[in-house]
Amino acid sequence: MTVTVEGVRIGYRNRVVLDGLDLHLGTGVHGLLGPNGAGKTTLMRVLATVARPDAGRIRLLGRDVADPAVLRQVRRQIGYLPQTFGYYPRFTVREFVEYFAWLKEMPPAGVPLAVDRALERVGLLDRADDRMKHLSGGMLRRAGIAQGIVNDPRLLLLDEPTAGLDPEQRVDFRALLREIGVDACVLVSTHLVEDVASACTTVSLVDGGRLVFTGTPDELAALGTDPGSGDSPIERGYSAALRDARGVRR
Amino acid sequence: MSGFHLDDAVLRAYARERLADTDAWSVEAHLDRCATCRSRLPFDVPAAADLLAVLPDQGRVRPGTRWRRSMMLLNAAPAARVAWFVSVAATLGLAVGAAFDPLLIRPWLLLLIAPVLPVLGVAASYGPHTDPLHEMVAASPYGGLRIVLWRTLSVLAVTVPVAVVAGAASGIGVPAMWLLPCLALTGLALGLGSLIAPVRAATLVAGGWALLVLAASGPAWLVVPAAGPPWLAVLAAATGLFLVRTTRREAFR
Repeated sequence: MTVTVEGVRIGYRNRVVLDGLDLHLGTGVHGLLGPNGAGKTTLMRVLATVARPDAGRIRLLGRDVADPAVLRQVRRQIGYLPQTFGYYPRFTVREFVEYFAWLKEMPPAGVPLAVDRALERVGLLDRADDRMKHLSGGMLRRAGIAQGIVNDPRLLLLDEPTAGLDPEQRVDFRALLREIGVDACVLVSTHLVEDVASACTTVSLVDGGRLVFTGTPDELAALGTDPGSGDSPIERGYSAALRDARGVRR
Repeated sequence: MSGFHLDDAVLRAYARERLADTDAWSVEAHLDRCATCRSRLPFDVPAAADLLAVLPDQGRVRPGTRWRRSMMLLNAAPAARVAWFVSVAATLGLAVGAAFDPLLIRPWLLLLIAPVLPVLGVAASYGPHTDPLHEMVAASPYGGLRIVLWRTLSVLAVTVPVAVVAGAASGIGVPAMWLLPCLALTGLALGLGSLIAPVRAATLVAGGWALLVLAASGPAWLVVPAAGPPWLAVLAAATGLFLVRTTRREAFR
């Protein structure tokens, strides 16, 4: 298992965000679905080792990240794209990605090639020498994805990566995800159900800080029996899973 | 022999690698069997000698060296550092002014500002409020303690000379002694910054320093050789606190 999360609890100012959440992920592309405020972003931040849980156990790449020395080694193999991120305006796209290659302690000699390869994979190589401030929203997002994959991570965490991408870019992006998911663990947090249906091998559904469903996209779609609750089978399944989870809790 | 031949357009697309994998496999299967189509395959691949002229421009690629890494880590400056650079320049301006006319620009003003410049620089260079990339930097192996130290280093490289110049221009105390409060205050900001938010720590340290300078009747005693040991003690204590906090757990995130 690349990711093992057991009983993780985290709260900010009296509000519980993750409430004893369990999650197990292996190689492949995994979708993380849930309504706004369900705790998706917080879970991503916990897995990216940026947020520290109040309770619970986390093993990443099979190792306990509580030890700083282990944490440093694990972080070298993580790629993380937060939901919102800025940039240093005077950096070029290439420098932006290069900066993260250095931060991830990649061997110096391999950095230039890895940077250009990452830019090529997101289709930004022709803009490599443009300044970050001259990029459009979709290009910024792709530059963010490039910094996430520059170190060929074994665990790639993408929080709402398709926001700002046009439909064609979204198709390319899903192909890239499938390619990376062949030998790495990719977790994609999204509110776009169609992203999950077409690119993910498994889906995890989070609501109220807990995992309420995990399975394949088809299994999620099979839950949806009420034709009025969504436009596609998987949307109907999503609504049904949320309704079930909330019904049980009440 | 097969009964059909491939279309020109298909062959062109195949030669330019524009076909989907499955289509390309069928084309290859056919080409294996059909010499006619093989001979029609357009070869517009340039000779090796012309390849460089045909390839797109590579752009500005820097060699990956340790030197380049250090330069990137030192130079990556968040937007908030613009404010800090302006205050460094202003301090230099004040120092020049004080050297020309001590009545116009009071020397104690320099003592008030120059030693806290690195503190402000350190505060401005790390944290979710001032670093637009903080979230991603914090998730990298360099995140936390090590990037804080790199940025402190880059701040000190600029501010320490400025403080010594300001010291010389002000005529207060011994110019070289200005270095000590500079380092001690930076150490304090880092030490406190491992306990509370770095920005709050810097504000506290800057405020404390201002009180010290303003309350002291003759502020020169802050930067005379006799003040050396106390400053060194403060520096040692702050560094100790910082090390204890950061080795026990990752205090900076």
